[in-house]
Amino acid sequence: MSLKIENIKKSFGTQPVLKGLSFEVVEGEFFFLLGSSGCGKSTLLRIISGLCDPDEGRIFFDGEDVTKLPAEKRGVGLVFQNYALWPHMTVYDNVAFGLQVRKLRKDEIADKVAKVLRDVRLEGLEKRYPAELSDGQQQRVALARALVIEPKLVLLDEPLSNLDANLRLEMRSELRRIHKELGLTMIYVTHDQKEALSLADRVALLHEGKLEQLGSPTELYKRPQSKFAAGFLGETNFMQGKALKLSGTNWEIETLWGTSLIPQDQAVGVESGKALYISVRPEDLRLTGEESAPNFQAKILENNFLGDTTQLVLESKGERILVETLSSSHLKVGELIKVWPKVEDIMIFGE
Amino acid sequence: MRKVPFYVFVSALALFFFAFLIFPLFGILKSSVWDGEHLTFAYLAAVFQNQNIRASFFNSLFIGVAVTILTTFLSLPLAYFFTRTTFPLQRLFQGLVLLPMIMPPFVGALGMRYLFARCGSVNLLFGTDIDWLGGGGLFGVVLLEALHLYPIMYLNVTASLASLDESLLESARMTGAKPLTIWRKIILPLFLPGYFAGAILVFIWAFTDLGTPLIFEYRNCLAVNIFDRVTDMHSNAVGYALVLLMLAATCVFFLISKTLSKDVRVISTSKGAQGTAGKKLNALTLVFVYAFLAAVTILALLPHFSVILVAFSDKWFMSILPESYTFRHFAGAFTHKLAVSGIRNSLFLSSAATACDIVLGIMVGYLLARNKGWWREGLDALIMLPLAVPGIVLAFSYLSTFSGTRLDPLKDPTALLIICYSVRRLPYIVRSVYAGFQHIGEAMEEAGRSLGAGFARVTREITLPLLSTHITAGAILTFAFCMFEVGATILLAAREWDYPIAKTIYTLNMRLGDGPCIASAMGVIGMVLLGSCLLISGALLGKKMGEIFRGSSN
Repeated sequence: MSLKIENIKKSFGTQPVLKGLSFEVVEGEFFFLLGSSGCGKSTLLRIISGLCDPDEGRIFFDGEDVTKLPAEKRGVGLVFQNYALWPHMTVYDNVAFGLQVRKLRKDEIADKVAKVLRDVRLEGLEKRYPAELSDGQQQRVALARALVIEPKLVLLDEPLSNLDANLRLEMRSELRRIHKELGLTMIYVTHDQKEALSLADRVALLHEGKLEQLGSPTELYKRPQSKFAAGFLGETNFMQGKALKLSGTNWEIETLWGTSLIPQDQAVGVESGKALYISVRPEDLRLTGEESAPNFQAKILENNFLGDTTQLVLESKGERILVETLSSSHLKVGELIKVWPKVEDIMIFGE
Repeated sequence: MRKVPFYVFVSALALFFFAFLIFPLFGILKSSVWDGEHLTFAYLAAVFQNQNIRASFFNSLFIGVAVTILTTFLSLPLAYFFTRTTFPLQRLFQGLVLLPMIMPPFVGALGMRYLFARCGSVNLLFGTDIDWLGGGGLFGVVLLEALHLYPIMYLNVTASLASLDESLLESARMTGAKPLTIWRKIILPLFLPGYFAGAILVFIWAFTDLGTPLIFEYRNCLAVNIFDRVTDMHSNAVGYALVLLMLAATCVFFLISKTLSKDVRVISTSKGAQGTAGKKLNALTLVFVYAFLAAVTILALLPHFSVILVAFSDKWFMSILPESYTFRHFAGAFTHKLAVSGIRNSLFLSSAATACDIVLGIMVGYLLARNKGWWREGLDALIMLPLAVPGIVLAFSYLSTFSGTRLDPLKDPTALLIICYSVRRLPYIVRSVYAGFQHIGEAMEEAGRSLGAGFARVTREITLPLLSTHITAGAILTFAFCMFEVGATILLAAREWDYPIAKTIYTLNMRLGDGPCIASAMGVIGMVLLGSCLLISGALLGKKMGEIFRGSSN
């Protein structure tokens, strides 16, 4: 099912939470709403589910306006952050509920419940009560309950936030498998950028009730369209710089490593003669390179061993710079080293 | 909730409260200042100028304040011992100290007279001639009410203390704060709101109690004064002014306590932080604790003991204990015409009022817990208002408002008694249901809706089953309290065959011969009934029992 959000606005009291959001989700997409807490992502999910009415704007399912349709008529599967499993019902009853509401025959219900419990790998736990399940199992029941009604759209509200790190990784691949197998349109709310980057077809980054950027994980990571987006997804260094002039399709900018040419499509809001931020990811700073390529000198302040990689904290002309590198055990704190930025992966933002 | 049923329900609720709370109370106000043609303050002036009334007002105030202070001193150490320390037999004592709740104070008064009257057992035993019940029964009233009401105070204080997480105090200590500063800045601000919420319930109960003074024949207090004026209420408006005075006083005190108990939302701390496991006590302290607990328990159970003694006594006159014992009075309680109809009436009235409160309680609880409209606070205040309106005041207002109408209590008090009980006890059931709604959380219902279930189905299959514990517990308590509602009962039930238990006990007690003994036997039966009710609802609610007896719903 495709989904269209059109200029959705919502306030709680005098506090605007959503300030006019519009975007579309195509059929079969694994779509992420990403943002820090309070950015309005959960509210938007509740509005899509019908549990909450927007103040303004419209919502379309497959081109049909459902803004006024109550939640129980939308046929959307919803997985709650705290699962909201009914403690007085067994796993079977929890999952069967949506089918009973739809007045399916008993044997049909039994078949569908059995199938969905197989899908989420919970066979044999039908008679247990939620209190007798582990966190991960509860999470699967919540998912099964949402999936069993064969919704065309599944909404997930931070579904993995209550799980420990290992279980979260496991459930992430489970979700990917289920999405692939069932071919559902899924909208997933999270504040965890790693979840979004690893699972999403496309991500909508929300900030203070507005759409900050919409695109594939790679686009968001490699070509963030704002300083906020660059900072929110992954780690990055913001260095001071200055725009000198636009020559052809490139900006001539003043940087730590001298004057540099940056293609226009890597620049956002840059103006001639004005200061700007240069965003360079820690992994885009190399410790080796050709002498003729752009580079700068920096002093090592810290050398932090992280297991698979090493994080260096450097200082150059008053800027504090993070570098991620594979092997650096020979580097000593206080030592001066040369650093080569990957200019093709740099983004620049006007102040 | 859909818009239409929502408005229908809110309007129906508003209408009910207007007809059976606001309008009758307004009638009291009107009759106190309106002589039929003019605005007049003559009745109010008469009240204030009458020395007897002034004295009775201050006596009632004394009873209220003294009972509140006494219950505080009884319950503070108890709450501290039970929440902050551990010692053997703790659970047993925790149960024992709640026992006084199972007997209304006016029943206890039946027995205590035999022990503490001028020629009662205690004086006979020690060969003394001390007026233990002092001041014409005043001390007796205070003592009996304090002994009955301290569990309510105790439940509130305990809940308040329990919410004072040890980590809050530890983090204060880590800042280097001195113990006194911690008391002043952390403990008191967190503790006092809960305390005031309980204190106001105790105060209003004691300030307006009618049953206990009547049994002790202590007539010089406000409630008895009002009771005495019921007979000539239609010819003498001073009664109205008196009722207004009582209502105004309770409302003022209620508002004061509301202000004092406002706005502390205790955030439940993380899982690991509930390190309130009590201190172990050393031997000396342990002896002191046991001595205190034993003293409280014995004192608190004295009224029960005395009533049981009277109920089983065959002959008891000028002797320390009864000369012989008999089961006769229990047989009497089950055969005496008045007693049988009393029990039957009370069972019927209380069941009906409870049923009414269950329906209203669920709906109001839902509105309060699941809606955020501007009217929410108003509704909350309206529902809690009966806590500030004494039973005797409400009953008096019904008598004046509905005389001569189809609901005239002189013709048949059934309907008004049911309504009166419902209105009076609604706050308790609403609170219980509200706590339930808070506990289950809105997501449970939303999950049902997202799967396609409508409002009715979600209510039937998800909300109600999850709420059932809270509903049952609230209902049992409501039922128990209706069974022993005194003030309203004594005023509204006029004909003998309409008498509920409370008035039967009062009437039997005044009869010569076996009257007081049969009344005591009925008291014992009531005690067993009330005890079982509280036991069941306590088992259902667990630690949340305290929440029901608190002065604010949040």
